[in-house]
Amino acid sequence: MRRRRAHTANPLGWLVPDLIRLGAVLTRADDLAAMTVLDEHKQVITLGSLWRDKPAVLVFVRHFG
Amino acid sequence: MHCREHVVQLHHRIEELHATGAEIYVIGNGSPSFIDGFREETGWRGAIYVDPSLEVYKAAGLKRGVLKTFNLAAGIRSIGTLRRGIKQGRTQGDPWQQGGVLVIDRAGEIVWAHASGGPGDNATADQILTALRPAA
Repeated sequence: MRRRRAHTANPLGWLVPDLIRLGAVLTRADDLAAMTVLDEHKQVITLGSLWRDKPAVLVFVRHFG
Repeated sequence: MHCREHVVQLHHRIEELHATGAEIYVIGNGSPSFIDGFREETGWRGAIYVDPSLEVYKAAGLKRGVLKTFNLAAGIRSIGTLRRGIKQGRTQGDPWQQGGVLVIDRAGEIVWAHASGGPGDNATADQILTALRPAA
């Protein structure tokens, strides 16, 4: 199975380069599963529900512009 | 502009993506009120969610920073996007937040991930399809 690195969040702020993230690898979505997002009706969606029944592709966009 | 282009590209390959058995979710940041306009501009028919707090972006390990948004590579990619006729709309969301893609299987394993290094550094549909085939 092909795998690629996903880095953990940079705790030092938005101007600090991401070099400190190297070596940190997310392999499980457990930390994400209980987190929530909102739909257009402001309904709360639990992320873990998205991959409960089928594989999920989460496409994070930079912004909506 | 890159964000819209990325979603439009995936929209054009949605049947192939769904054929793997996976579902595709677009997640942005900012207000839920931004969703309708983005859907209209991209033609995306699937779910679109927002993470106004950026907590999910952070937990997913996605990058954020002024120098991630403004750099030479991003500028070159922007020129290419403009030449393809796609223009930047008004930024709706955090301008310094970068995007990315996570492919997660039913067991909660992240089988593939891409953390964008800047505007236009987007995972392609082919990359996602390759990741999905063993995950489905």
